[in-house]
Amino acid sequence: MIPVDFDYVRPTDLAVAGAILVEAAPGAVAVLAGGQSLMTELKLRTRRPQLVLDIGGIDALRTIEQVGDTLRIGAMVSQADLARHPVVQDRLPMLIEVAAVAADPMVRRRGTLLGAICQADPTGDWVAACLVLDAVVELRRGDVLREVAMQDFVTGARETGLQPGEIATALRIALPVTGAGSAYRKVRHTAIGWSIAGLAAMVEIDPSGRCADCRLAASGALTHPQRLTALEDRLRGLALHDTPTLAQVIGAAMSDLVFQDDRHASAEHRGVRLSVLLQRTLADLAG
Amino acid sequence: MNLPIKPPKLDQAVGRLTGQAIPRLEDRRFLTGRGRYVDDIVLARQLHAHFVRSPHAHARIVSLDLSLARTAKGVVDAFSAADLAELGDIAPNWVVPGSKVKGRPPLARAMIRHHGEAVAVIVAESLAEAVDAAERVEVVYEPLAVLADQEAAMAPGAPRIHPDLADNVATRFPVGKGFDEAAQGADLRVAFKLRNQRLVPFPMEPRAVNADFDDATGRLTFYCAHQLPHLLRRMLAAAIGFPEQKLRVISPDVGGGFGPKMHFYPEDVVLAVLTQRLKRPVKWTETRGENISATTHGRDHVTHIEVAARSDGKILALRINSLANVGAYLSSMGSGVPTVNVALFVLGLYAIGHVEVLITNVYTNTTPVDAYRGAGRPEAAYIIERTIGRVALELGLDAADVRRTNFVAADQLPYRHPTGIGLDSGQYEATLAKALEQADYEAFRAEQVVARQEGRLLGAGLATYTHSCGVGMAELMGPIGFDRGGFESALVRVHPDGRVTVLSGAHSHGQGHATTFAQIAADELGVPFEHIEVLQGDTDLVPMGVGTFNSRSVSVGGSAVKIAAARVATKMRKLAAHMMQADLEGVVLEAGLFRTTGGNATLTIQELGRAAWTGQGVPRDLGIGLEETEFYHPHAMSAPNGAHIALVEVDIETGEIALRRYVAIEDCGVVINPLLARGQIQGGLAQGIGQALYEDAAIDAEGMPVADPPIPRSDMMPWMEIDFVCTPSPNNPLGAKGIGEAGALGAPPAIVNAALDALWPLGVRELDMPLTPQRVLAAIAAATAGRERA
Repeated sequence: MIPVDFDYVRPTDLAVAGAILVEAAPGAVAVLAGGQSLMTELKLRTRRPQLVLDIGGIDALRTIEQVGDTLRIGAMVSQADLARHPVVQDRLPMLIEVAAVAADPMVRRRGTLLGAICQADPTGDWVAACLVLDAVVELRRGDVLREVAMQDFVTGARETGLQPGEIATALRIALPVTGAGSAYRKVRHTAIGWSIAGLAAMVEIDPSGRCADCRLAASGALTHPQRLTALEDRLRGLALHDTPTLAQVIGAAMSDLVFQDDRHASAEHRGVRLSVLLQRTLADLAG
Repeated sequence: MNLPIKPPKLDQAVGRLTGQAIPRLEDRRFLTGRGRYVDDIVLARQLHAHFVRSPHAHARIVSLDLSLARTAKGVVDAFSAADLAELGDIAPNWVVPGSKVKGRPPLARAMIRHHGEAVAVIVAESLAEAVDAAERVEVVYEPLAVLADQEAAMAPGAPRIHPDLADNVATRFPVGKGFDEAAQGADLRVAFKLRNQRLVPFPMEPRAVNADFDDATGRLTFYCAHQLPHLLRRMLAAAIGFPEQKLRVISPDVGGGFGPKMHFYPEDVVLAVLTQRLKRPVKWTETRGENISATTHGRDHVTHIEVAARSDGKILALRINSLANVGAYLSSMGSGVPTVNVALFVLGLYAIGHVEVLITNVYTNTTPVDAYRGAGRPEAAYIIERTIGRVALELGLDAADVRRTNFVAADQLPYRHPTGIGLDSGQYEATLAKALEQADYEAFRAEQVVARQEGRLLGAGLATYTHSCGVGMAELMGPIGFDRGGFESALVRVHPDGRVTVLSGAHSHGQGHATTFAQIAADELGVPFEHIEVLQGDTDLVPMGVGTFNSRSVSVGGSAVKIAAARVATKMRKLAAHMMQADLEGVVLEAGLFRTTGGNATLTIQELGRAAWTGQGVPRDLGIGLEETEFYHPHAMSAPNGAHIALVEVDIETGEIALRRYVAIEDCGVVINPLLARGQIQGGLAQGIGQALYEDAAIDAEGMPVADPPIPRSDMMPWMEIDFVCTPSPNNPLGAKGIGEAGALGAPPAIVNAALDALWPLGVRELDMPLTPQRVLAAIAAATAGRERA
């Protein structure tokens, strides 16, 4: 539980941090934001960086700003601070629900939203929510900026589109304008707390009680957090109160998915739990 | 096994302070982060040890090279088994006759037999340097096939864990006979199999040692997080050939033990040798990973049960055949816990005439298994209570009725089971009745019927339990091969200023002895509670003692305090009577002031103390001082008991079990401090509920225990409805019975019985712990498939 020797810098200027990353050999630098994954990896020596680059001193990364109908969240914004922000409270209730179930209060106090996104853990609650919210990640390599949509950014379990030398600086979320209902629900391993299945859902119901539009993403159950696009397509136009049909449609969609299988839960059990979670959550959102 | 139950000589009066819910004196320092644990102790010229451990559960060490590690920065030296050749295997201190003993090697020699076995130790100026140097140790292993499961290890032709043994059997322990004869004519005969899964004990504070040899005096001070400081001193002195009077074991605050901290470990021996070689203090604090692999585990039985009963639920005979996985080596109590502590207790509170038990201890490639909260008795309680539950469900009888039908009757007490175990006292029907009333059992049964019609699955699970606490009698421990005393020591000293020191050979690892023992002493001495200090855990300070396990601290250690304090009190009154020229009977002590009834004379305790410790004005025959030592050696043990009820609802879609209510009614005899007694029950219940619903060491096919054992947290616990009935034990002067293990015995069968009660109508007949949603859904699916086939 003692890390290997490493150097440590805490610049106050994003340009300085960017330059350090650009010049570093691949894998030599570990970026420290909230540290809620990195500290454990360092202590277990599964990460052995030569340099830990602490971006906590860069004030520019600590801001949450609303620009029109977009919320821009800096890389050093903690999950707890995000959940307390008035715009989030007003317009992004799903993130409040995520903040109630993601990890624990101490992790959310120090852990950052963007850190969780870059970690791209298979169980990532924030990742699933941001997939449904169609968020955009802002990346910077030296002075060069680029943007990647969440769906393209998270490419696999702990795999992202972050390139060597790049640092993720902010996440942008377009604030929902329709009257869509949203929810984040999660089945934990009862004792260990790891996610067995998580579901982020945004559903618009038309006056006849049918699904006008929906966006769904699963975490925990699948090999990595991802949108359930095939199920979304099948749900459009469906009467969500029609329990047998809903169960049938969900069941059919499950067969195309690849589930995690480990000692916390079998692939089969994860499939059952995600199905039940979908049925119960969609029924709730149908009102 | 057949010792007479002798009546106590002292009275059982509950005093002014005993029986009071006084908050723990220790809480102030524990809750403000100022406890002092072994890892907090940093000595001058401190060195740090780090063990290099095997990633394999079964392997041959092809080569081991420490040369690079020895030259690493900050490293003082590094050692393998070859460097410590004078050390033999760690000898168990409980060896059931007939056991084939293979003790743990201090460091692995040529073979690795379980994951995490240490192959080398690095000693460095800092822990970080020791850990860095460990990466420079070059070990080449030849991995071998892993036998982690006891059934696999017993299969014909299975590889042998210890090739010089004929097979993997460590102990065979048969008890009783006559099942087949007694079972003839039974209305019901059922055979079933259950598994009491392996658990990781997981104390908050892992093990820790700081060994400090002083070359000038030839003394070795051994700081160790331990439950039995005196026994550790004896075992360590014998293992390293050290004069026992020069070996001082100090066990400061201990952050939980649950059994594993009463054992004797390879690391203890290694550090005691290293500090002598290096002539500097050497410290080692276990990491959580080491705690999971190197510290002993608990339970791990695969049990076949056959039961024969009449149609009214009366059990005629019971046959138990259990394979106990004892791991790769016999740990300290490794042969006795799975055998004696299970086989003799399988009849619980029930008058069952015929029982036949065979328990086989089996070596495997796993971490050694040893005592863990309850130490064998939870396994026994699980066997009998699951059996009673099964009989009730098979016969369609109420689970409470079947228990009443089989209880040992009040007029049979004290009772001796055919296995030799005694039940000293209790009111089993009343205890159960109180639990049923508290749980609104009748109403729940009515609700269950309605719920079933709505497709909801409710279940009620009952369990009673008993075991023997307050070990015990030398006459009993000798024949079963238990190399320990059963006494406990106490020294009570009233100082010249009237303040009191109590030294006790028991050792708190969270139980709160400093509070409860002060309550006991205060009532005897008549001095204010806050003037009493209880000290433990230092073998240079405390008279030779035994230590804390088997819920014995109050009934044995507390009795020693009571007796010693009573003798000091008698002496104080005699001296006071002399000084006040009064009759002995007329002397009373209240709040530090002696008075005579009927007279005006008064005497402060300070005046008395000064006289006693100077001898001035004191008759020669009263002697010097106010100090008494008692080595209390019980004549018999006590049998605490209780009735537990779990009410559950099973979600048929998700398999989740909601523990709606949990009721525990305990008869632990006279309660010294109900607040701390409840705390003990709650802690035991957390571990019992954890075993039923969540926990599993889950050793995989490669022999790796789970890295993050599912240990329950407070937010996963139900509200625990706890109450007491009190039948004083006739077997000790306090009338106390022991409470530390109750919850761990009652909860697993109560909860599993509740789940089976809910799922029985679906055709589910057996469920193994932990009752994970995945397992529950699989059982429902299998039962459904079975019904459809039929």
